Amino acid sequence: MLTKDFINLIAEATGMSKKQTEHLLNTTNAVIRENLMAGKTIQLQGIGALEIKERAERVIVHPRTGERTIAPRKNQLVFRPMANMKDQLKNI
Amino acid sequence: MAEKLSWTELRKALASRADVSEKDANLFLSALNAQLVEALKQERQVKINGLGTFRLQAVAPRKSVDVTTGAEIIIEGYNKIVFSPEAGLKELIEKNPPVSIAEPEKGDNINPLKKLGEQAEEIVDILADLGQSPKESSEVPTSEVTAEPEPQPEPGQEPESQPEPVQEPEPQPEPVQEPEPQPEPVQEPEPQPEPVQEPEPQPEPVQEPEPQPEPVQEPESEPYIPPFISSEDEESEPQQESHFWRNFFIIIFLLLLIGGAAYYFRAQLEEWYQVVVSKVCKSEQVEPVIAIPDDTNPTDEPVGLDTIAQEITEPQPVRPQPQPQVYEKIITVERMRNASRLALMAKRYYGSKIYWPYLYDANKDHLSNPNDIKQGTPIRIPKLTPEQLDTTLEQTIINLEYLRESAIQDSRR
Repeated sequence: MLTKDFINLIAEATGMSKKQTEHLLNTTNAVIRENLMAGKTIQLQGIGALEIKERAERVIVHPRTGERTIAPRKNQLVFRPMANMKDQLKNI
Repeated sequence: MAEKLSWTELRKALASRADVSEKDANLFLSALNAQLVEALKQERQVKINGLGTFRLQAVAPRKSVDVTTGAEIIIEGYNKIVFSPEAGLKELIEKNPPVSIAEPEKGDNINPLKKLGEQAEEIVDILADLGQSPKESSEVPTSEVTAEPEPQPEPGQEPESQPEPVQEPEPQPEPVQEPEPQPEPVQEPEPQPEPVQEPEPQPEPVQEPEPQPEPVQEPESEPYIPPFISSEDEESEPQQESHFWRNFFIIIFLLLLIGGAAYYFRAQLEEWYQVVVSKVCKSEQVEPVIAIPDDTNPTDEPVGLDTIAQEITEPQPVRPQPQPQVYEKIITVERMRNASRLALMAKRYYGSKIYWPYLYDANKDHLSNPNDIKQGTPIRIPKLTPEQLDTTLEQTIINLEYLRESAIQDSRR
């Protein structure tokens, strides 16, 4: 489902205008982004949490040449679903 | 753990940023969550611009064992939510790690460092046993110094020790900032208090995000690769090795191929060999003279019979030589007609075409080419002895072959 359709969905559910929901969504994104950059984990109630996880340096091996290099450390944006999401999604 | 932005905080932030009431913000956010789940259930995928894509991934049911009873159970299949961040956001996060995450809590530093210190001690001990002395003497871990360049390559996990290109044994806080190419500059202020705790040099646990401003400075100045410099040789070796084995097997395969072909054609090969040998032998021998007496009276003892008998009874290590043929009698004389062929005549008189060389042989005096016989040429048809007709005799075969070969040679001239 594309963003546009998703926005429509929310707009219908809330009764707000599409423009309004789009604006709110964008703002939400911005807030999330800022807080992520500040290092916080974002909790989305009923769904899960978005957080930044670290990937430490590691040795990677090129499958063909066998050459080993060090991949530098980096961060990843990771979504951790809520524990009971599994049950919710079982019967689809 | 990093701080959390709770739901309520998010709501408040949204309300203030978007300039809406908290009630509306709440309404929006709850709808967002609920609809997200609904949309996922319906379409299995929701893309949100500015954030990323949420997807449902199906997990297949699998067999397992009940822990308590030991009975087999089946874990049902389910769906899980998977999120992949948008490209821009992903890059942003990868490259600019949030400060709070980068900051290690001080408490945590000490312990891991201590563990590292122990590791370092062990390593140094091992090295000492191996006869390699640490560059700068003494007691290892405590001395700020040294870095044995050796211990580092060993634990492959400690690449971070490398990234201390700048070597300043003493002023610890300073090297912190420079040698760290990888760690983001943000982290600089942190490491400084640490040096105190790090008399232990190198081994940095992989876990630590911080660059250990180890006083131990490697002579090597390449941040990322150093631990594996020593293994560069090894790297090239496998390549060479692999080439070697590859070539080896190629050669083996070729040999097998040639051997197989030789085996398959061994009969042919033997024949050729024999021909060569016999040619060599022939050149040494006198060419057998084929005597065709004009009269048919038997003069001498027939050459063929006795010698043939002898040769057959004697065990012959060497392949017998062809014997000159003598034809005692002539059955008749036939003239070559338009479509006559020696082979056909042989068949007519002797029962098989294979005896045609006898015909050619018997008429060699006036025949130069078996393929080119003028019409009307008289062909003497000799009477052949039973031995001459007996193709089970080796000598007969040899004779026939010889006659045939010479006839063919004549035809080529």
